[in-house]
Amino acid sequence: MSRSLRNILFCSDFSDDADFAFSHAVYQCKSHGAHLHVMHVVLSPDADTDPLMDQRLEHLDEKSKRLKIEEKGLLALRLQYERGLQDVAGSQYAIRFGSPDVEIIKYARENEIDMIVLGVVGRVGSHRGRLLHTAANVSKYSDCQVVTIGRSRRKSEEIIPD
Amino acid sequence: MSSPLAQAAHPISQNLDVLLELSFKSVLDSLPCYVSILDTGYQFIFSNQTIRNDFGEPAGRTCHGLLKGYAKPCTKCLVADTYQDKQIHIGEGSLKLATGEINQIIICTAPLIGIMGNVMAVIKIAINITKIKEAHKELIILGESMALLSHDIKNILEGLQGGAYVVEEGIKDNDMTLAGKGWRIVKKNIFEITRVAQNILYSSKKREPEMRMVNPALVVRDVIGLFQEKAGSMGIQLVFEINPKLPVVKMDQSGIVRMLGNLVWNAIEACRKSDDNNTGMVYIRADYFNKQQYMFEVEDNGKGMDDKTKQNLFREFFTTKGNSGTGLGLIVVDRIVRQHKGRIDVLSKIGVGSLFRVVLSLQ
Repeated sequence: MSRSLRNILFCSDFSDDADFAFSHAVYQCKSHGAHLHVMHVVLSPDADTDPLMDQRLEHLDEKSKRLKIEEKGLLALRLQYERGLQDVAGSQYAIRFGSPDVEIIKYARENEIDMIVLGVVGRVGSHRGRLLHTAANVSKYSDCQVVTIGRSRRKSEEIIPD
Repeated sequence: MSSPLAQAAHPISQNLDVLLELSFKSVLDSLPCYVSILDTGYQFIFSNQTIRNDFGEPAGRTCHGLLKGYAKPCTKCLVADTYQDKQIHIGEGSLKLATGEINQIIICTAPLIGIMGNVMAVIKIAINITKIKEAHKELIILGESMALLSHDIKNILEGLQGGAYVVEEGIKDNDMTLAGKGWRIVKKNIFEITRVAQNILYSSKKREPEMRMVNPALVVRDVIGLFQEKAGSMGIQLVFEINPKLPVVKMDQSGIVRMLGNLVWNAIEACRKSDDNNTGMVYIRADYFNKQQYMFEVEDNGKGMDDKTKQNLFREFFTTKGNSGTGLGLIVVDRIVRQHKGRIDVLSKIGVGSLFRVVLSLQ
């Protein structure tokens, strides 16, 4: 078994495309015996576009709101991904607030990440451009290897000639 | 409020009671420093009014618990040192006020020796020097800034003198090509000294932003207009990418133009100093960040920054431009962004380039 990769960071926006990328992150972890970091970045202080945002939290002050979102986010990451982590050497979860590209690179530097795995197509249309931008910036400015996983959206009739 | 003599049954307390009855209490209470007497368990036997005002009631509390918010005694404790060697100790430290504010202090501890020659308690006097420290820091910054600004202005003036000399020579020899060359040098240095003067003005006085509704795309076009010719003369290409769907937003237009201008100028300088042979490219973007926020981005393919440079970016008078920068540009950027309640993201990698993103509210 190769041990060249010790820490792999998988970044999720809770979309189907992120889940698709997750399977690759798990595969890499199993191949290298690496530790998996599962992370979500909350686009603070955006209250609408992040799946973790909740109108019931709006009355809270900024600090309490962040704590609640972090708690909720860690639970959501566990629920979404823990089942897929069988046979992975070790794992941990993280929630960060800010611009995804900046936070992903910062986290990778702080935690000596050897590889970052990102899904490149987002949940909804307006989100899609941002994710592509994030993936491009992470690839460009990160010190480690970056793998961006995308799913083709083409239908069979677009590929198979008549 | 209970008596400052927290434990009346304590033998030291009884002695102090006598002293305080001789009106020392009012003197100690009015001293503008923290005076306390601590037992071997670092609990307060006595505290003056200044301590009670700033930290609350000390009865039953330890020194480290009340003054620092620690559960355990400090690693380096002057009170412990005095208990151990019976000597006076002086040192610097910090403490946390009831408001949460951290203050710098000078601490002096002295033993109260009993008739058996043992240390019965330790007197601790702490003087708050936060304001003195701040003034000291400001003086250092002022000194550094004067040196940097003087050097910068001297360089520009030398450039102006050189340019004027070339113009004069050209006119004298009726050589308009030479005169034109000299004039370009003069213009370059006028541009530089104007920028320096504007940044000094912006960073040194409080200015109320003039908020009005403006289209961010127009702001980017203004900035491009300011730098297009200069960048072109350096072989650097400016590219602007604007989302035409961006709405008009409330902003201080001149402030935002200044902020973007400083970022673009830094990007041009980073490209100029890059060692690789690629064409210098500076991208200026205005787009949505999300539904509630929009962003300006300035990205270059210049030499990039190391971690140390990134950490010091928004420190006053920090510059990577050697003799050709005052370090004021990013301070002005930071100030304008804070005025607009926005934030700045920075991405950079040596040999790849840098990206500065300013995220502002659409509201």
